[in-house]
Amino acid sequence: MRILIIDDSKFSQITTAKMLRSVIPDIEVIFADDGEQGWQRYREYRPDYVFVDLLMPNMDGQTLIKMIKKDNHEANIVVISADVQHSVRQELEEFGIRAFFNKPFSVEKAQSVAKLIKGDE
Amino acid sequence: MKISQMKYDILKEVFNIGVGKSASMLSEIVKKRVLLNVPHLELICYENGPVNPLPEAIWKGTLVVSSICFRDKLAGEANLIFPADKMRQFLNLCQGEGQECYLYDLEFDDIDLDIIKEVGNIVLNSIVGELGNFLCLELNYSLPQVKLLSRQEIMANRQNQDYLYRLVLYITFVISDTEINGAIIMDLTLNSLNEIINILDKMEVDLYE
Amino acid sequence: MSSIFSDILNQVDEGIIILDETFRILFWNNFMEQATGVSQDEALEKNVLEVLPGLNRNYFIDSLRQALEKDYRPFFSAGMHRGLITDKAEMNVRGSRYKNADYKLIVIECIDVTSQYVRVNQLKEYVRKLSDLNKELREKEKEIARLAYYDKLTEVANRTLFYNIAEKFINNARRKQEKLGLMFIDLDNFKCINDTYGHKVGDEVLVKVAQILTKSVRANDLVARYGGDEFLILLPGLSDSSHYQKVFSRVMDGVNRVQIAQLPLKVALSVGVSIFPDDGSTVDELITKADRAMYQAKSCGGNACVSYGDCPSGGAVPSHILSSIGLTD
Repeated sequence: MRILIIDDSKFSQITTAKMLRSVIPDIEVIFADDGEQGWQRYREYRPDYVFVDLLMPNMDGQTLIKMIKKDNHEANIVVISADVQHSVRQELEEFGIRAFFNKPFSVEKAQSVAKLIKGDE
Repeated sequence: MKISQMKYDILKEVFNIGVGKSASMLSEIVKKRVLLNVPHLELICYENGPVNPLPEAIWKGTLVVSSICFRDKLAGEANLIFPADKMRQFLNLCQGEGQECYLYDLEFDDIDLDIIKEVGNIVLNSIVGELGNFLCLELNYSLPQVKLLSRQEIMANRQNQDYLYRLVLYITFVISDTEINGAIIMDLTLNSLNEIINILDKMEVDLYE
Repeated sequence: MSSIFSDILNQVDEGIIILDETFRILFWNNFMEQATGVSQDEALEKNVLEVLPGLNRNYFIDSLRQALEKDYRPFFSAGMHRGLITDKAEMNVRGSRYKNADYKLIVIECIDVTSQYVRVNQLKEYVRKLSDLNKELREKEKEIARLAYYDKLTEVANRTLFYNIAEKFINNARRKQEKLGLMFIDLDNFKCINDTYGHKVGDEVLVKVAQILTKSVRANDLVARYGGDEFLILLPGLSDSSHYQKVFSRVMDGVNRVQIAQLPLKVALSVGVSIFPDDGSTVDELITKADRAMYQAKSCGGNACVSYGDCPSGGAVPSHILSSIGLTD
């Protein structure tokens, strides 16, 4: 299974990947540093799941999510963000994201991602 | 003292989580969409003589400063700083429409100062609190004091000569489509910075395990 | 709580509420009783969110939880949270936690800042009054300026403004080597109108004529009331005589159409024209010459326009009279 993690923080990229790897066996992880690169890598690698931050330079997460959803309505998108406002979350849920997690990402949150993925199989 | 790019990245992320929480709280209070972001971070050392954060071009005139002191495992002072005219704009947004403004741009009444104190309390607590959480350190801090200072005064205002290090966080506040730029200056003792760096060192090692 | 401490807390000049970890009210001081009208007996043992429903908001509850867990010190300003404690007063609210080995307490302090609001509102009111007064003064100033330069009845320029502007126009014409026309207009039989139909009707005629004159000229021309039933028009940048003839015919057009209740007569007027620099080089000279030409128009029966340049030097009989009839080009 292939996942794409889009976050402008290298630290967040690595910790998110580490935690996901610890609970989900056999995943290939691809990283992108901002929304624009995220869009390129998404088209290039066609990941099964996309993990995306919201506040990023060169195209924010909201815009990227809209583009991905337009490309493939069934795309599996999980948001991991420091923006914890209800209005933001609601707006994104309308786009049909699979889950929304507040930063910092944790093992517990990774476990609920694993459960979600298992349910999909 | 130099710190690695990864440590900057970790600190920036921690502070972004902190301001994210305060943005959520402020947005509930003012019932408007609030976006808070830390796009840039600097670490400044006073060991090697004077340094000048806060570019003069932007940080001119009167600045509104809310400060809190923290003690225990980390010792230092955190200051939330906005140019007075931007703060006036922010206050007008906070108090909602229909609030006729009777003061000049750079003047504040007691009610304004209390609002600034509340905002300072929320933002600084989130930042310092998140840093404490992240580093697993318990911190003890006071309610903020609000002062009106010039850039020069802030530069000279390092309360305690033990505070050798300054973390400067440039923050962007977007409230109802109005962008307001501010900064947070965190003065730290050498011991405190060492404490932070030690913890970050361990984290960095763990990352690449 | 020992009674001496509760006595002290009952005397302090701010509201004190003490809560346990479940937000149950353990203490409610006198100040709170007076500020909210809720007595100690009614408040004690109840959940604070029930007694003060204004506090029942997510951010407030979160803040109290954080205060309990992390020693956060919430502060809520009256400016951002109107009516948080009571509708009757504006209060800043702060919270702090106290703990010992066995339990934690939250202390909520309510500080009355209503007097600040009163002061600020007084200031606002004062500023508002000042700005009203300022506006009034500015309008009066405008009115005074208007009175000084404009004729009250007809609202066209008065003599003072006319002389001011005529000076400038002459200087300008001299510098640019242009011609400047002056029309001297006098109503025919105005005295008769006044005597027969009354001053009210006379005034109405003057206002109507002033309006027609204003409408008949170009934007840069100046219409002024010279006195009584006499008007002046300045025509800067006059290229040839046909220009004032056009103005005259437009005026006659308008005048012929004037209808005033209680006035069976048609309004008519006589016009004399002088031109700078041909007929004179000062304002007074130009007025005198135009007046003389007007007099010639009048002596031939009125309702006509005569140019001073066309008058014979003796000024006996006009050689050239531009009658209103046949000049509607």
